[in-house]
Amino acid sequence: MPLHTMKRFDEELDEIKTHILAMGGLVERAIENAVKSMLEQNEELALKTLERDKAINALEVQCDEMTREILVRRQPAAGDLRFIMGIIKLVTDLERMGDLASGIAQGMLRAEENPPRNFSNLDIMGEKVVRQVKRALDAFSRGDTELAMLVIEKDAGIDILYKRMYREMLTYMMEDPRVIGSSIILSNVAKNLERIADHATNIAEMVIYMERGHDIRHVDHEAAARLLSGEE
Amino acid sequence: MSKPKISVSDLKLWYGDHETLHGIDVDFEAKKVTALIGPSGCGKSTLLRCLNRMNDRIVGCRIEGSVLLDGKDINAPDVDVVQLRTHVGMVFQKPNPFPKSIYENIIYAPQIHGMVDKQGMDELVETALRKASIWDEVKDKLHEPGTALSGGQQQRLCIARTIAVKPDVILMDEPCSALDPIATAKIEELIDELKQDFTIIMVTHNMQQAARVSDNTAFFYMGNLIEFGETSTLFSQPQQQQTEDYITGRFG
Repeated sequence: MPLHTMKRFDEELDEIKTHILAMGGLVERAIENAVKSMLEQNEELALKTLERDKAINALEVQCDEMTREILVRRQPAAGDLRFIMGIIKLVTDLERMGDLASGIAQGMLRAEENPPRNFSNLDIMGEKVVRQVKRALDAFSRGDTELAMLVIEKDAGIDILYKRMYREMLTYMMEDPRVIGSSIILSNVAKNLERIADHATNIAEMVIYMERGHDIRHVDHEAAARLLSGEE
Repeated sequence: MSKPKISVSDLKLWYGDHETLHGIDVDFEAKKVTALIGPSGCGKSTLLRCLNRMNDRIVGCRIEGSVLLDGKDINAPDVDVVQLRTHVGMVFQKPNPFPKSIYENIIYAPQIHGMVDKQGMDELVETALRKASIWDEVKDKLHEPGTALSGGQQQRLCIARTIAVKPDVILMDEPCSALDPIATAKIEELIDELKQDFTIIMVTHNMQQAARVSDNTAFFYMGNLIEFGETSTLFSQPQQQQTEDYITGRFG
């Protein structure tokens, strides 16, 4: 796409994109560290994750300021308008993902006295969720709608993992009331991961809106694929 | 789209040997505002002027194709251009009231068309000025010169003058380009009200204005209609790359 006649506008859009990707990088690391702190029962890492959430929040505020500036000064249209609308939503998703990662770190701290004996599939779920987040951010970075569709497609697998873990935790609790506390914490952690993946899906949907102008939220996967292939 | 008020098909226009419009096909919906946008020299004003035969008297200007008003060809030999212009009025870029009183500005054309009844004229003046949202500002000085009004008021007076002959269509060629933002807002509000009674076709260089007031937008480039569509769609999700480049400021 050619550059804007007003070159500063291109710089501003690039700046926002860079900020979003920086924010995304921090979120990715926060999720990884939060899950790791739980698996390794590493208090220091959990505390560090909580501390670093402040940087994510600060980037959220900065991105909002930048989008406001662009709306006021540039009155974006067409692809620029969709980009800015996407950014406004995406920033909120990323910030929530950061909060959910903090929630996992807090779970670790709460479980410290009575740590779970069995982490079930937390490691696998953590890896898959982080991979989803990475894919969503890559899709945003490259404007890759195929990759965005892949994120949306893969979300169902995360939901299944969560349900499986939840059932497993219920079984432990029924078998042994002493593990109720830690099992509840662990199933909350799994819930947080499942919700993080939902936010990654939101980002993927926004990427498709930004790039193609199709709103595929609340549309089933096949209909969305047809829309993107231009059949509808 | 419901039955179009004006239907343009395969319209070509030459100034001498130079082809300026290259076969335009577009329908203008009744009682809707359509904005024509595009860079200077794209043909949007030329097209606007074809809609009430303002190009007739330009030497060397020749057209092909058809412009139908309510299904009737406005270029047919039996069409009286004066009559045509009572149906298709025009408001220009710079307010151009006659150097006469406000009252006379309004009744000038109806008088030419044979109006003599004084009471009818008084009523017409009030109705036209009310419809153009300027009555309250001028009702106490109807016999003062129209040229003494502010730019924005003059433009609304010109709109009132256009309305006075009860047209179906009002053409506007950059009606706000000489006005400040407050006067512009008043004209835009007026356009929004006028579309209840009239079909409005407007040329504007101000894309935000097109986005604010029009229902449909047509984007022209180098004598071609590149894209026509519902305004909100055209400004958020244009189908053509050239439209996208133009409205996002990536042109040239």
